[in-house]
Amino acid sequence: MRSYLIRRLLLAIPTILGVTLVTFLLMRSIPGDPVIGMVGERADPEVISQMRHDLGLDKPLAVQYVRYIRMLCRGELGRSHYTNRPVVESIAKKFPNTLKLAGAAVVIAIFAGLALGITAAVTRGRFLDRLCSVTASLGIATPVFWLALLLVMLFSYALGWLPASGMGGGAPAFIILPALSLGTRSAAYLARITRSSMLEIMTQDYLRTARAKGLGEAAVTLKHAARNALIPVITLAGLDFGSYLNGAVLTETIFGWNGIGRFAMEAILKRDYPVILGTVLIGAVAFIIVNLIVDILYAVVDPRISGSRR
Amino acid sequence: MNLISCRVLCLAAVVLLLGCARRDVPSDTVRWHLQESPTTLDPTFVVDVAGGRIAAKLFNGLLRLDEQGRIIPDIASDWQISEDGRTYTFGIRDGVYFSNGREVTAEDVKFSLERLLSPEVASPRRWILSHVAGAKEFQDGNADSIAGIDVVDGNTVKIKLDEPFAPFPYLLTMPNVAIIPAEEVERWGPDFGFHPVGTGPFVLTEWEPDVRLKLEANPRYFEGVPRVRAIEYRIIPEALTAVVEFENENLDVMEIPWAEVSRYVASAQWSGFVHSRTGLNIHYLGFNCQMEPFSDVRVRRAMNHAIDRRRIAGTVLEERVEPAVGPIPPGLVEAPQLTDGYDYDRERASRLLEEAGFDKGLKTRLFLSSGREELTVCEVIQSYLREVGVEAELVPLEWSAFKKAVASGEAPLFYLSWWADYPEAESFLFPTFHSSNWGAAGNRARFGSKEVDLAIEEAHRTIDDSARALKYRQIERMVVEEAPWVFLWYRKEFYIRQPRVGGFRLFPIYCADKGTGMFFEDLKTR
Amino acid sequence: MNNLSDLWHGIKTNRGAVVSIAVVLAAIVVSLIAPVVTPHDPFGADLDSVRSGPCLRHPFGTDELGRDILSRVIYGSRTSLAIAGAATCIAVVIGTLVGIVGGYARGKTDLALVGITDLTLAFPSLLLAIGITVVLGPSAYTVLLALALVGWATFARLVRGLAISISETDYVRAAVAAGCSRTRILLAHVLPNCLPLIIVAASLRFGAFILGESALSFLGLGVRPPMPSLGSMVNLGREFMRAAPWMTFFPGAVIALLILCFNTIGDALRDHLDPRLKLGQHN
Repeated sequence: MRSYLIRRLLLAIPTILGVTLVTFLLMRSIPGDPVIGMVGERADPEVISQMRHDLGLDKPLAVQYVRYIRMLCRGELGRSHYTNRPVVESIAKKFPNTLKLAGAAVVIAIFAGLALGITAAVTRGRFLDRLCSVTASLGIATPVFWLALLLVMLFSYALGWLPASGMGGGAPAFIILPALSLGTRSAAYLARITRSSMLEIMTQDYLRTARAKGLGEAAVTLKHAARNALIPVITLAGLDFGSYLNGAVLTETIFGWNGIGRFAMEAILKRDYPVILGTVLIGAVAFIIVNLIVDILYAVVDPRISGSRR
Repeated sequence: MNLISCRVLCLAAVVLLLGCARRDVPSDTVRWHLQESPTTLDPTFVVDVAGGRIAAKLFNGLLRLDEQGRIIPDIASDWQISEDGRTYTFGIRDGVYFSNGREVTAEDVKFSLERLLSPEVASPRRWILSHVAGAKEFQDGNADSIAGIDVVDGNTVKIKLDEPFAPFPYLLTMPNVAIIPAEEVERWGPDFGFHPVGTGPFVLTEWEPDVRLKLEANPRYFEGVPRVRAIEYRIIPEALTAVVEFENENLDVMEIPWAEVSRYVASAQWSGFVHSRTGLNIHYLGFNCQMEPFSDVRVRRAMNHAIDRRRIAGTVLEERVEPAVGPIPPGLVEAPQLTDGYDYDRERASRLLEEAGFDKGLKTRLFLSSGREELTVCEVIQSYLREVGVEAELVPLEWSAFKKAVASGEAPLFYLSWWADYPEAESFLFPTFHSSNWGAAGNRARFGSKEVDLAIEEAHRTIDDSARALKYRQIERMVVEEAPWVFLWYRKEFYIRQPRVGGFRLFPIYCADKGTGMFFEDLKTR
Repeated sequence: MNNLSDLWHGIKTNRGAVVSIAVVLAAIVVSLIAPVVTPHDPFGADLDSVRSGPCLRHPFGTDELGRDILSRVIYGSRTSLAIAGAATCIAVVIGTLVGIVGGYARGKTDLALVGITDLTLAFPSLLLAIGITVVLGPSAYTVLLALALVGWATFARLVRGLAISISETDYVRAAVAAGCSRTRILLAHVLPNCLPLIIVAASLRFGAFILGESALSFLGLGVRPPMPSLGSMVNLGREFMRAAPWMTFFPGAVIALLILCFNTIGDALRDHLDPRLKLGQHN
């Protein structure tokens, strides 16, 4: 187990380096020039070339890359080309917002997913089961950005219950719609997995024994079936981090959520190189760490699974 | 875990959170909607609209503009031009203080202007002072200071130009020529833009990047304390979100998004609070006049005749724009407006194309920046062009890639707009049509005509306003005849305010608004 | 292959899957004969009926240039299906190749291939796809390439695991002992046994590719106008959500419908072929 951990950790380092290299190359291949966007109208060519020089953009690519890696080792991420604010500062302010949003989405996913899945499993074969299953399928199929817009149309414009965007300085009402959009997909997956693993376990012998002992049906379901079925499930469900990062880009854009997804997206459009590199790097590192944790939990929770997966 | 009580809890939580959509309305703060984050508030570097709008409230320059776009004194209490039109003498007011407590002197004026031209600073707006005598030597590093800026005494500054340049006072109203304190600039270095210190009616007190900024009234402002205690700028990039926030009374002033204009204008409840104005801008289709086939003036005129601007303005754009004849928007030049431009005339367009040798049709590429509005407009234009045999393939690009393609001359046809930096017609003629400005400097159509060049230079030297106005109209007529652009329309701006905000006006240019005219109406007495 | 008819028998009973297959087939047919079937010209601007609501003439309403939304949705679905289909094929081919070669060969080749796979998987897929489309410039082919380049890695991982376990089975060992060439073993033994898994994964991925294409178009990085794309229609309709909600609603509903159908088919295939996999498949 320990050697597995150490091996994974060691593998992470070249992966992260690879991420920076690929990002750097991709980024510098993007057509367009940050300087032209920064100088406004009526700029004379001298100012443009001086700016390029100041930003180090006129040196060969390899030199720029080495410079960047050296800066990384010093623990810096540079300053934004546009606002001249240190990238670390901006990311430090925005990343927690994305985490907050992902966290709220996980909570919704767990509550809604469990509720749907358990209901479906318990009322197996009947109308409620079909309803829950169809809802889950719809939840998986619906594109995040469309769902977000529908939610805004319904809850903000039509009903006026919830704010349509912004973070509201942390007021709880503002996180509901974005978290709902982001978490629906995971909730749907979780509902399905819950249902099937509960169904599997509900037919097993030790449950028959429990029933024979005279415990009520509800107690049997919840205490024994749920607990055993859901441990691996909960582990997997909330940690679908990759899809949260993806969904965050779309959700944050639609809801004006001041998080890292929107930050990265805007930087890509403006060719703000230091910000692009910084956000992709942090995102990838977080992603790798979370995947590592998930894989470890997998291995801990069910050695069978880790064996056959590899 | 009891499923029922869990569900009750959830329901209770939901109920509690409802009705949190509205927030308390602060009685003394105007909440203004911004679509984008300002990049910096350092006057020497401000190039974006959001930054310029806020910088105008934090700083003052020598001169500024009133609601009609006329020049009035700002920090300068009076000013004169010499006989030969080359020397401007400004008298500096007493009693103007920076927000750090120090009084403004003529030395500060020299410092601020020199910073704009300084080679180390490399401001993107240094063209503003390029006419000042000695500017070139200073910029090249061959001089320690600008010869043309002369501090006569603590209260007087003389600025000497190389040649008479009539629009010069207008250039001094731009936010980049604001007066800044040297000691604060040195203290903050590159972060001065986040800690601006100026003489303006407001002072920056809070800035949450990409979220909001708060400005508070400056009690020592030399024209009197503003009647609103604070302005809070809320950054909401999503247009419809801003609308919902406005209607929930969480915003006091909002620029009405495209899609909602007709609704508000027609609404009985809100139409009285909508303010609109044709902005100082021109939206156009530019040709690369140095590239075939658009080097042929007949092709350019044909394209002008092929597009029915009035119809597009009336249907797709719902009267949010005013169809254009020439490049100068209305309200700028004190001379009769041009009336004869290019009418929508398909036969004429086809005939001109035939004459030019393109009777079998023409293939080209229309470059645009990939925004929703631009795409819509260009798709309509594409279908009009198709009707006269011109196949224009749309090439939507990201903003900076688009600007690069246009500046480098790669784009044969492009959709762009030009916005005034100052309300003088020269800003629509010189940068855009003078042959010295090809590329990123403004003349994206790469248009070059000796007559137009000479006429513009002559207008520069004409100090008399009405004579200059006539010259501008003549130049405009020449430009329209040569058709380096398809002159599409001037875009209007629409703002809406809450009933409680009084004294709200739209200025001809955003950086003229110092925010001092606003106050809160007492709604109860109505 | 008796596998195919087995498959059909297994799925026939699943009503949802049958309906989905019917819908998908209908969509494909409509896409192929689109010019014949669409009621109006999807490209022609009609400035007199800008933004009108659903009615008999325009069942889905019109957009900001007066174009019929139903017609544009038909063309948009055609684009989405074509791109997703091509991307799936390419991703399957690359991923299977990489997975089989690495999983069977082991050693240094495997390590290198796993490294590249992990590197690709280390990026959040949408961001990487955005990066690729921005570099190459938005167009239908770029989206195709981006989706394929991002999507092959999950196939590779899957196939590799399977290839490893297959290569340890007795009859493969016997084949090696008997002197069969590597290529023969790969093609005749390993590949066919991976096929069911690949088919399931491909049908589930198809939905993800449709989603990816519409997300990229939504962000403005997809198919170039005036070619309609479902995602960009949702994006363009966003501003008019209050004044003309049909502009956003119908294209998005069609995206959801297509994804739903492909997911249902994929689920039915998976339930039939390998119930063990129920716990695994996320992305």
